[in-house]
Amino acid sequence: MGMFKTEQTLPYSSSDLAAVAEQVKDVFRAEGYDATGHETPDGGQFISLTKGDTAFKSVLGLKTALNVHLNPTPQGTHVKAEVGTYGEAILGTALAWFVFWPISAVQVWGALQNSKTDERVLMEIEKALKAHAEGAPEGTAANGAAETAQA
Amino acid sequence: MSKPWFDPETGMLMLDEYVSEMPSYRRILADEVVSEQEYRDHAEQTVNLLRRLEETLPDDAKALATEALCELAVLYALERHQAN
Repeated sequence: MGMFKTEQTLPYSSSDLAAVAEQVKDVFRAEGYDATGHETPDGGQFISLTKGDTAFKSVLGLKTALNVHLNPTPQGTHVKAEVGTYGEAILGTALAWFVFWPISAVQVWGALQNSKTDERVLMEIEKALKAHAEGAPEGTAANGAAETAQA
Repeated sequence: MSKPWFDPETGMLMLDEYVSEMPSYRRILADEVVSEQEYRDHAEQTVNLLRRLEETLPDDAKALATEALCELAVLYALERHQAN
């Protein structure tokens, strides 16, 4: 799916994108999302978020999701978030060639934008990147967790 | 009772979900192999449904159905063009 996506390069780098991804997934799991992901062949991270509510409809029996790709770049970390199927980094052929997919994808993306979920994901990724950024004070991530526990 | 095309609460399209319930879709998925005969048979079945639809619809509904089907095809072509 090409058009309906959010892309941004955040000016933070981390040698532990896996920890960044895990922090983001934990945030959304705490809100009732299913979250999964894995490292990608290019050294980035893939995050897939879905929820059992109306925003994430099923298409051809497959659960839609907000799929996020994190990739390190010289300028920081490139983030791309788009509608896809849960757990799948690449849209499968069955949906990519499905005549109704453009409508379904537009509707799911619209629901995500209305609820500002796409913005929230970017915000949480930025927070996690800052916590795990290169040159961050040692224990930053731990301090962040401590502050959360006290809140 | 006819199935709604859109979820009355969310407005989400439901036709895409019905496809996965179609016996024809399940049959094709069963072996994940589409023979030329299956392809021809399904094309003929689809054409026959379109003919029945055309014969059944009053003129104004037929005009609307024609527009909807064609615009759906346009949207699909746009998506394919953008994806490639």
